[in-house]
Amino acid sequence: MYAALLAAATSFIVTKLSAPVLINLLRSKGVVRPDAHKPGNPQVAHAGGVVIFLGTTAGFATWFALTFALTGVDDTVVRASVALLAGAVCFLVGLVDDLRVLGGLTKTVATVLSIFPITAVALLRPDLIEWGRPSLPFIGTLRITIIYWALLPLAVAGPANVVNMLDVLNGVIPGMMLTAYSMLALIAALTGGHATLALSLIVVGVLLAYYPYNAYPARVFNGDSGSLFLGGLLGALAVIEHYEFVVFTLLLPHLLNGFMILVSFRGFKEHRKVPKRPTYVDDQGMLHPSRDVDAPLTLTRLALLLGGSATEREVARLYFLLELSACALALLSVLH
Amino acid sequence: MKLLRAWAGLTALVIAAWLSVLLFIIMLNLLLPMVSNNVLRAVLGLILLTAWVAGMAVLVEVLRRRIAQKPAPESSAR
Repeated sequence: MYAALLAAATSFIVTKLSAPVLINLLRSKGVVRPDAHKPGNPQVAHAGGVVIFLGTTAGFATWFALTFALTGVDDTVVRASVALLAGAVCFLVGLVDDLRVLGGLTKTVATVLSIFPITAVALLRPDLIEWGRPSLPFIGTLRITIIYWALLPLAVAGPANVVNMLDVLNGVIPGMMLTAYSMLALIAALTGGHATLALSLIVVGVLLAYYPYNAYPARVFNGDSGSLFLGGLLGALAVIEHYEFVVFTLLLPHLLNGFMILVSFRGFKEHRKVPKRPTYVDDQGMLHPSRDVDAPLTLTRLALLLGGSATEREVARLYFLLELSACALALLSVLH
Repeated sequence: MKLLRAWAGLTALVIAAWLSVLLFIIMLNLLLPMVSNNVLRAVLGLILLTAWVAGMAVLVEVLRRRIAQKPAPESSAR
């Protein structure tokens, strides 16, 4: 626990110090994208996932060194390393997409590769990662080996891509993920998920330092590298330490949004190639829901239909509150 | 924006989705053990899962079309 807290402090400091340098570097290298929701569409540094990944890696290295010095390489260290490796695959796919745009389906299929490190360890050391026994509220442990294998390719790729799909407004993903990882850390502390606790605290440290840079008005976009990494890591932790239902609940807003988009498009589509937008921005920077019959249904469009037109900052605040609701449900799932 | 109204609406949606998944899993847990063959049980589970996802997809599509047909409400812009 102390090692994890020290690692979280390290990840916070490294992110705080490296973020301004990396953001300037990204800008100077021309890794920028227009901010579509602001008047004049100003250019903003892209691929902020580099900052998030660097901070997480620094925190993990600190935790690894401290744990190794105290207990050697135990099961928790291996589990956490495998989860981070799966997250790293998602980060790399996202980074390639940030630098050279990939197609929607290509990106999704590439993130499926992130399950391989987990599969390899599960096959080599079945005592470390036990398949097909997710823990569910009111039911207990399920034995669904064949269905579990069938759904396994989506276990990391699914969370990674649904988080990416909701990364549409300034501050939404770091804010929601900060809340989700904090709740996951609390649940892991209550239920004895040591690897999940360590990595969740490290990510909380990173996001506390990173959030101000992506909050409205953003100085850096997370890019696919950031959102795929944060979602993929959540999925990996869910599989490795059996937090499937908890993570599913924490990601319900993202899953609903992703499902609505997939149904609207009847498949995967790169967001830059979407012909009809679900929302539009007026000259004052107010977001309005589209009334076009062909526009996709998204959570943001639904929120604007329910609550009326809003600023980007108001919608980000709404998403933060919605994630708190999901966190309450996740806690209920564990404490039933 | 009427933040509370939007939050209440979306939270209701999240709770409904959470409950529907939970009930679906409980139903699977009651139904599947009645099939003794492992492979048949897995196939039945996957068929039910696909049918459930398809049902949810139909609901989303109906909602999307209804939204487009409704007249726009008064804007709450400041």
